[in-house]
Amino acid sequence: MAKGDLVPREDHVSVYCKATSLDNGIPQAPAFTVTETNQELSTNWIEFLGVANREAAIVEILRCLRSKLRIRRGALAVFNVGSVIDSLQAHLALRAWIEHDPEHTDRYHDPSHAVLAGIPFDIPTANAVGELIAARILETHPVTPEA
Amino acid sequence: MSSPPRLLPLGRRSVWGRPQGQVSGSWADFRGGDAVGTGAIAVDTDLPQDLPQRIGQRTPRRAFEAMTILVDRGPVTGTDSDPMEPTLADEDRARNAIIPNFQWSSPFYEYVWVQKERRSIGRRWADSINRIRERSGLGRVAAERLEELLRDAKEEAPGVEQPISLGSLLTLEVFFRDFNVAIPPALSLSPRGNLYARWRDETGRVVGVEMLERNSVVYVILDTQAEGRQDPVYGSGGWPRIHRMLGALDVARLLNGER
Repeated sequence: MAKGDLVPREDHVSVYCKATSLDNGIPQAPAFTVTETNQELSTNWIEFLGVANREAAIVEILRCLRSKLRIRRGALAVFNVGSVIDSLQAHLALRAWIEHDPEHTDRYHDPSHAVLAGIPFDIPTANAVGELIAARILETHPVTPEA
Repeated sequence: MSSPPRLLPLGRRSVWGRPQGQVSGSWADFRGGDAVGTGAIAVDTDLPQDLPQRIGQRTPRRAFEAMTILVDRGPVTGTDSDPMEPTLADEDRARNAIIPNFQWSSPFYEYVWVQKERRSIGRRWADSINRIRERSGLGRVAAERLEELLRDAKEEAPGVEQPISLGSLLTLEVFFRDFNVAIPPALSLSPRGNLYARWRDETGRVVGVEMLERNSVVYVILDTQAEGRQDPVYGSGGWPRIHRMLGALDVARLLNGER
């Protein structure tokens, strides 16, 4: 797969949610909102990793994230790609997509990195997007400093 | 700087920056060299006593003491129930009444100004949390959650003194009061540093509100369980608009628990 390829609808992505975007361990809409300075939502394409099971994928994603971000507590929320895209199209008439965006630098490699793009950053719409995505969470995996 | 600066017992209704720009008798007495009043006297311990010497500026002692008091008490002009900050012009009038012709744009002033702002924000944050805590029903739960959120935010942004918007907290406090909120919301932090409150009922209806400054909000109302196309209602505005929205969509009970 090359940079810019669309992530298939039947596949899944995870989003890292900071501790301040959780309440009682549950990701809230702000975890999935974009801003003017950060107009795409960072995700990781789970099936791209080709690992045996979800737990192994989560471990690998966290390893990559920790190599480039200061991660302490939080959660990884998992979604089905098609479910999120369809929801944004149906309810907000947004033509959003998730595309592969592998990151390779001298300091880190995040080959499964992908971005949710095509979503507005004005606050009301961004928050509505956040709520719709939050309603599509399939799994939540807690992230701890020790994990 | 042999004696510590004295803090006048100004009370909650301070002389600072009253709209008419008058300086009270207390300050006039202070300018004469003596502390007045009979209330408690506190000493600012955070501000270095030798600050003027450190920054190499000859600062009149009166200015140092006056600014220390500014730092300690903050320019509160409202009442406990209706706190209000004075305008910059109000503050300038008050300062000039104490030390005419002092160069307020000096490094000394800048240092003290930053200190004042930092402490004022911290104090107003704590005051607001305490007022929320005193609300019956959701108060204790919401206050504890807000304190937890502030701890998490400081952990995520080391070195940032106030990672959550004070204006957002004040809006949340007024929102709780004016909308008679009795159900503790899920609270999180938006990427903009604003508080985000979310209520969800057993049928899957959701009200999400980002608290902006000055009693302004961004709201999202949606039904997560609805069959077919159930579009979210979202927008921004002040109290009248969200009142109308909550009423029109019959979701006010998510917030207050009333049937």
